[in-house]
Amino acid sequence: MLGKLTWSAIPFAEPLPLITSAVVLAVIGGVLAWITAKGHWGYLWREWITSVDHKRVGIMYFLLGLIMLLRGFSDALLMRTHLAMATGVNQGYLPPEHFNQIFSAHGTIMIFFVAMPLVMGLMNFVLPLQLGVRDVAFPTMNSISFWLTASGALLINVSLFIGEFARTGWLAYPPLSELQFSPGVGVDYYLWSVQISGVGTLLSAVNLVTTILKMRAPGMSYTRMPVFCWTALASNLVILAIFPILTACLAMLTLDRYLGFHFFTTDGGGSAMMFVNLIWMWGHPEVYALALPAYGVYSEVVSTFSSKPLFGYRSMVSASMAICVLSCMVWLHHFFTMGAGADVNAFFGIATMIIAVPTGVKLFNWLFTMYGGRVRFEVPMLWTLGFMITFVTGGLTGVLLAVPPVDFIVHNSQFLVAHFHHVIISGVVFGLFAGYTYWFPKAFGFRLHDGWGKAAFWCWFFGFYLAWMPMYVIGMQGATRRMQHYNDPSWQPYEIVAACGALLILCGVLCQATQLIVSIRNRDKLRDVTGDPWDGRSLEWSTTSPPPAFNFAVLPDVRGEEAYWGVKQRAIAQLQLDEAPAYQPIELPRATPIGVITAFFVSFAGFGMVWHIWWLVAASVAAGFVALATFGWRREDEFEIPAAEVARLDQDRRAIRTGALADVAPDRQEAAHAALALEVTDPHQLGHAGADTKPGVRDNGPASKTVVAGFGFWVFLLTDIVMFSALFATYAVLANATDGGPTSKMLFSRTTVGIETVCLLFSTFTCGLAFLAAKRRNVGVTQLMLALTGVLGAAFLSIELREFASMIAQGAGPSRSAFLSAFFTLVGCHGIHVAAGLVWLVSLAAQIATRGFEPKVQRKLLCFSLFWHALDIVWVAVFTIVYLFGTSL
Amino acid sequence: MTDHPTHAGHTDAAPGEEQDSFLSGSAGYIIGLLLALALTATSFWAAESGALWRPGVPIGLCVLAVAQMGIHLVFFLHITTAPDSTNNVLALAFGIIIVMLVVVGSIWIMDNLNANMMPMEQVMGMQS
Repeated sequence: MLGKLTWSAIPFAEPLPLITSAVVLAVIGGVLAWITAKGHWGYLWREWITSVDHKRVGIMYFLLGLIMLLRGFSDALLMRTHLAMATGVNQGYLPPEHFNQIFSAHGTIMIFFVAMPLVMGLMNFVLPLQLGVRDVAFPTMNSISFWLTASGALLINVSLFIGEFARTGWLAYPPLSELQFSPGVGVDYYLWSVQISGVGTLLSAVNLVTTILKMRAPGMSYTRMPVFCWTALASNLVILAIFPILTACLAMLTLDRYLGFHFFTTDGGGSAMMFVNLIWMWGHPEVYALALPAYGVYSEVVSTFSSKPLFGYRSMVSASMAICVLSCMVWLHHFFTMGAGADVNAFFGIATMIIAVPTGVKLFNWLFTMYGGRVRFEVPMLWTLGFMITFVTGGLTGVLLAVPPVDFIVHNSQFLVAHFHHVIISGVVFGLFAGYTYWFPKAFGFRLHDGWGKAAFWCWFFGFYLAWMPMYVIGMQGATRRMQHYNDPSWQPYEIVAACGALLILCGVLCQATQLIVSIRNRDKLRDVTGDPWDGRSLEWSTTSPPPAFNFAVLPDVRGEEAYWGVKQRAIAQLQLDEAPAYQPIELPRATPIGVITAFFVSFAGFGMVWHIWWLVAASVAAGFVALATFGWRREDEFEIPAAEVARLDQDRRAIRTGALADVAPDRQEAAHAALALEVTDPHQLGHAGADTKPGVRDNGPASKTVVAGFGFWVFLLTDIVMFSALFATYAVLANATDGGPTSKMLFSRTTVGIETVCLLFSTFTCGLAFLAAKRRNVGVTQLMLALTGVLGAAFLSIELREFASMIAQGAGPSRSAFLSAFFTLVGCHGIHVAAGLVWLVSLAAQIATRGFEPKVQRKLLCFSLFWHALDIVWVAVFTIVYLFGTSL
Repeated sequence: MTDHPTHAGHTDAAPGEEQDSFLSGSAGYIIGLLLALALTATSFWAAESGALWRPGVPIGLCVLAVAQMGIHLVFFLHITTAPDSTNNVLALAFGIIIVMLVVVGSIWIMDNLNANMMPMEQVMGMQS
C-alpha cells in the first residue's frame, strides 16, 4: 500500500534530525495557526497564492530563497563546527553517513533552492518594470514555474523527516548514486526534487526570454535596455541551453535506478563518465546563469550610486553575451583528472581562461563608472564594492584551477571548495543582497534600515574571509573536500578559524533578520514616498512604490538611453511633469490557482515516486492532468481595470512627483537644462547614446499575442531539441556498448522504419493543411486534416510499439545492455512526444468543434503545428543516426 | 492572420506563420512533402545500396539528414530569413550551437577518454 514507506523511515533513533523536525514542524504549525487566527487565509489565497502578477511571484520566489538560505546555512554551520573538532581521537558529533547527507543537501539546496529562486525572484520582479511593460509574457506559466520550484523545495525538506537524503554529493555521481551502491531513497529524493524544480526553472526562462525579446515599451530598443535586462537575457539563454541537458541526464539516472537500465552502471556496458560529462555541461554554465544577473545588479547599483551613466554600456552588453556562449564551452575543466588527453584538457583549459577576459571587461567598466562620479556609500553600494574586491581574487584562483597540471594537484581538495565559495558568495550572494536592498523599497514602499544593513554587510564580508581563506591553505596541504574527519592535527587551527568565520556570517544573517523586523516596525519612518528613493535612472523608478498592479498607467514612451533619467531631467528643467496622458482601461491577467494546484499534485507524485507508492503517482498525475486540461478550456483570461481607476491612481502619483519638484535645488535644475540641450561638459556624465537607428524605425512596443505565444513556444521547442541532443549524444557514445547482447544490425528493420517515416511525413503534411484551413476558417477541412494527422500519428505509434514489443520478447529489452537502454530511451522519448501530441490534437479538435476559431484556439493550433513539425525534424535525425547508421555501418 | 500593424518599421512574425511568397498556401506544403520524401528515399537507398563507396556513406547520410531538416524548417515551420523573423532565426541559431556543442563535445570527450584509458577488460584482469 505504501511502497517502501514504513515507520522505520522516521529517524526516531537520531536525535539531531528528530529535534530539527520537531522544531520546524512547530514553527510551521505556529505560522499556520497565526494565519488562521488572524483570518489572513482569504487575503493570502487571493493576493499571493493564486496571483499571476510578476511582482508577487517575484517576491514569493525571493521569500522561498531566503527561507531555504536558512536551511542551507544551518547545514554549513553544522559542518564547520563539526570539523573544528573532528581530528585525532575526536570523531566530532556528526557520524559519517549523516555528514555525507548534510554536505549533499547543503550543495543541492544552496544552488537549486537558494541561488536559483533568489535570482529568479529578482528577474521576475524587475524585468517587466525596467522594460516598461505590465507583466511577463506568460503570467500564468510564471505562477506554475514558481510553484513547481516550491514543490521541489518541499520535497527536499521532507527528506529530513521521512527517510534520508542522498549521500552522494550535490551532483550524485554514478556509480555511487546507482541502486547498487545507494539502495536507499536519498538519491531518489535528490532526483525528483531537482527534476521538478528544474522544469520550473526552464519554463521560467522560456517566459523571461520571450518577455525581454518580445515585450518592451514603445521605443525601448535593444541598446536602450538597462544592463540588468541584458544580463538577465544572457542568463536565461544559458538556462534554456543547459536545463534540458540536466533533465535528460537525471532522467537517465532515474531509469537506471527504477527500471534497471544501464546508462551509467558498472555492468551492462554503462559509462559513468558520460554522466559526469553531461551533468557538467549543465553544471558549469549554471554558475554563470546565477552570476550574470548579479553582474546586472552591480551595474545598476554602481551607476545609480555614482550618479553617472554606466561606463562602457556596449562593451558590457558584448561581455554578457560573450560569457553566455563561452560558459557553455568550458565544462570539462571540472573533470580534467578523469583521463582525457592533453589536447582535450588544453582546449578546455584555454577556453576557461578566456572567460576571464569578458569578466575583466566588466570589472573595469564598473571601476570607470565610479571614476569621476559622486559615490554614495549606501548599503547596495557596499555589497558591490565588497564584491569587486573579493571577486577579483576569487576569479584568479579560478584561472589557476583552469591550468590542468595545477588542477591535478588541487582537484577535489579544500582549495577547490574555497575557490567556488569565493566566487559564488561574492559573485552571486553579495549581488543578490545588493539587489534585495536596492529594490526592496520598490517592492514594499519602504526602505530597509540602514545601520543593520551595514552591520550585516561587514559581518558577511569579514566572515567570508575568515571562513574561506584558511581552506585555501589546508587545501594546498592536501585536505580533501567532503572529509568528515582528519588525522593531521595541524589543520585544526585553520578549521577553528573557519568555524569562527561561519559564526561571524551567522551574525550577518541575524543582522539581516533584525533589519527586516526593524524596518517593518519603522516602516512609516522609512517610507519611500516618491517611488524614486535612490535617484534612479531606469523605468522602475518612474512608477510608485509599490507599483500598481498594472505597473504603468500608460506604457512609457522611451526616447533615449536611461529611459527614466531623461524624463526626470525634463521634469526638473521645466519644474513640472509632462502633460497627463489620456487614460485607457487596462486588461490584466486573472489570478488562477492552477499553479498551486499543479504543484500540489506534482509534490504527491514526486513523493510517491520516491517511495514507490505507485497508486499515489498514478492518481496525482491523473489529477494534475485533469486540472491542466480544465484550465486549458478556460475562456475568461483577463479582467479590466476601468480608465477612471487608472486615472485616479496615476493622478495621485503625479501629485506626489509634482510636489517633489518644489524641492529641487537650482544647480540640479541647471544640470538638467544642460543635459536636455545636449551641452553636457562633464565627460563623465555622457551616456552611450542608444539612439533611434533610422528615422521612422522604432520599436512599437509589446508584440501581438500571436507573436508572443508563437515565439515562446518556439523557444520551448528548441529546449526540447536540446534535451533530445543529450539523448542523441548518449546514444552515439553507447551505440557499441552491447555487452555481448544483440547489435543494431540484428535488431533493426529498414522496412519497418521506412513505413514509420512515411506515416510521419504525411502526418506533418496534413497537419500543415489543417493549419492552412484553420486560417481560412474552414471547419470541415481543418477537422478532416486533423483527423488524418491523428490517424497517421497513431499508425506510427502502433508500429513503433510493435517493434519495441518484439524486441523485448526476443530478450533485447532496455535493461539488456547500455546500447539498448540508449536506444529505447531516445526512440521512446520521441514516441512519448508523439503520444502527447495525439492527446493535444484530440483536445484541440474538441475545442474547434465547440468554439470555432477563437483567437486563443488559433494560437494553440499554431503551437501544435510547430510541435508536430518539430517532431518530424527529430525523427529525421532518429532514422538517420539510429536506424540507417545501425543497419549499414 | 497577423494582427500586427505593418506600417512604421519594426514588425514581427511568429514562427510557423507563413509570409506571402511562393511558399504560401498548400503549394508550399506539397513542395515540402515531395522534397522530404525524395530526400528520405535517397537516404534509405544510400544506406541500402552497395554501389556507393562505403566509408563515404555516413557523411552522405548526415548531409541528407541536415538537408531534410532544412526543408522541414522552411516549408513546414516557415522559418525564413525574412526581416520579421530575425528573432526566430537567432533563437534557432543559438539552439543549433548548443546542440552541436552537446553532441560533438560529448563524442569528442568520450572518444578521447576511451582512447586514453585502459580497456575495461584489462582493468577487470588486474582486479581478479
